[in-house]
Amino acid sequence: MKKLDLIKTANSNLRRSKMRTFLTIFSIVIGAFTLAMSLGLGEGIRGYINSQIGAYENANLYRVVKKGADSFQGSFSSPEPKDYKPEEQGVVADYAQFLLTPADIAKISNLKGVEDVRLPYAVSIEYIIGADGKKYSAPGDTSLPEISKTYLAGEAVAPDELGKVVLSNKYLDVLGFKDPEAALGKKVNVTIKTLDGTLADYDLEIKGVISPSIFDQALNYSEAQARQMAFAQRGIAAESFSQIFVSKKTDVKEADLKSAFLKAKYEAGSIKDLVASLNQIISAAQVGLGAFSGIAILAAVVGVVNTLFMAVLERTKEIGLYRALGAKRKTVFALFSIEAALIGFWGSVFGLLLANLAKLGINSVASNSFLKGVQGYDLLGLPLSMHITIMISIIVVTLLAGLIPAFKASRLNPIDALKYE
Amino acid sequence: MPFRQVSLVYCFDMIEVKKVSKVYGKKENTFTALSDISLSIKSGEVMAVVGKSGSGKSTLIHILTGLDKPTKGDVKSSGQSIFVVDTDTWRGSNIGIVFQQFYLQNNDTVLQNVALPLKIQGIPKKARELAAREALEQVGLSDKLKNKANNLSGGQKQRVAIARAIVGKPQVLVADEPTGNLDSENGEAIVRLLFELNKNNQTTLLMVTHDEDLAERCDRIVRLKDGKILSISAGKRAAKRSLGSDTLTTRRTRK
Repeated sequence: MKKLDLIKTANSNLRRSKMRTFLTIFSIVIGAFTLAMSLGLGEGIRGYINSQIGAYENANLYRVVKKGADSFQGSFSSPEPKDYKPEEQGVVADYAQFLLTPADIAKISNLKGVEDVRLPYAVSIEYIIGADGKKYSAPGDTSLPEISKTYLAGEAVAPDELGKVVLSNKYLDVLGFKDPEAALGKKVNVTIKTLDGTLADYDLEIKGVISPSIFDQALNYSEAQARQMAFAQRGIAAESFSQIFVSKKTDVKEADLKSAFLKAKYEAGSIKDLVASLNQIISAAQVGLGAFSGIAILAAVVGVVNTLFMAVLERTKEIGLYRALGAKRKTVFALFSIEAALIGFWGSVFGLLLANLAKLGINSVASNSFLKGVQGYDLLGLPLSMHITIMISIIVVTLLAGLIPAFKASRLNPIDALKYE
Repeated sequence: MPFRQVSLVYCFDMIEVKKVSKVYGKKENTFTALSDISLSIKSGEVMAVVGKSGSGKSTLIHILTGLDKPTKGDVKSSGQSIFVVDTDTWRGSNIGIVFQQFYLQNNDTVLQNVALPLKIQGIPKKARELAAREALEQVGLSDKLKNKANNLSGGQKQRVAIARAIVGKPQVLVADEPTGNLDSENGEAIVRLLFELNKNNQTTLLMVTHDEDLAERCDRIVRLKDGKILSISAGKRAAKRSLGSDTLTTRRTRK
């Protein structure tokens, strides 16, 4: 029998018992839909991360913490007596050891391969004054020159530049600027609470206007400006950091830099490492969610086996006739196997169709509600590759499920099959 | 090869059954369905296999068509064992089987039913539909091509089954109680059709029947009892032929 005839015959056989086929395919549809939704959510988040920080993957910037600080759990576990190990000492064991002090920073700047050290001074401001005289909250951060920004007007502030700021375009309206160009050279009044509890004003000149990514805040100060304000706010404590950033000398390999840091009991990770570890978390979540969908598919597959066993019973005489007319065992086997695969095919086609409709609905609701203002991000992502993967996986699984009934059909004795009542 | 008139009814052995035995079951619970049967079916002849229920008629037909294997002995076609070659393919291209119960696919059209053996053989759609139309013309059902099989009468259904059996132009047509499910009028029409096909297509016809009158109308009659051949005798048709009233002109003769 020709392959195309086998497929056409198998497909028309599925239409014989329409309700049964519909219900079997429907169970696969549910499985495919659930799988697409759970993987699609992970893909959406992955897409968001990549859209926000993917562009910085190759930036010459390393985040430095004390060794063990990222996995620091001292506050959450009661310590058990342990043997003394010299190499483990100096590693973060309690909260006080967590911070990078000026001594650490000096040590880090002298490490082999370190070009520059960037200190992300934390400034928490009270308010800014809007064009209407109202006070607005506006989070700010130290600008890292290695992380490029999307400038709508103007340019970046240099690390040592005082009295200047880069503004997010979302604040143009409240500050009374009709467009990014109009804001350049104008001042924004920033008020902070100082160490002794009084308020201090800073008039900062707008040097650039950006469309912000997740790295960017409303106000992006130069390192010098941030230091000035942080010092006024927190005094000497402003000089301690939970994390700092360094750039690498071009002639030094990344691995050498990282090992130099490890030797000195620090840990350095690139943005690429950060993206990779985030993706790893998402992949783990996808696998977890996918496993639940897998259970739904498994349950559906039991239905496929049942449907095909019923079909073999109902069509026993027909199998006998096929054999009497010259069909080989392998033709009968192929016919039932293809029927199983077709159940998987149609189930995944309709499941994915439904998932795409749901995607349109969910993304539209999300972008108009809790994701409003987050640009270029869809909550659910269903790339073509995922469609293909889901389809192939489901077809393979249903095909495997169909092998047992197909084998049974192919082993029927044609004479007994013809006599079957 | 030039045409040659022959006085012989049949010319060479189409199928040879050699010392075939068939035993069902194991150890103490065995049943011998056929015992040491030898038989040769000649090209172009009409052979009737008669016997009571349990005489081994059906078992003989099943073994002869390769649907079942003998416990002992062999079946040869053109000198070669049919169990050594690909039996399914051999059966598909050399044997047409007409069953008592028709075995039509009720939801398919008459044309699709008739074309089924060719579809199994992998013949392209156009060619198999053309052959199916020809076969349906031979059985007088050209006007029912698009009808669903379950909308036909019993006689028509058996004609469709015959068309399906001859669509691949087999050398041997095996009819297992072809009139068993039909009234006498329809049964007679089917028998005439089968004889006609034998005459027009030079198809060897092997007919299993209970009907002694029908058997008498064949060239040879094989009588079975308890799995053994009781007798092989000439029927009235052979006598007619040897008198020259039905001299066979055939391309299948061998020198």
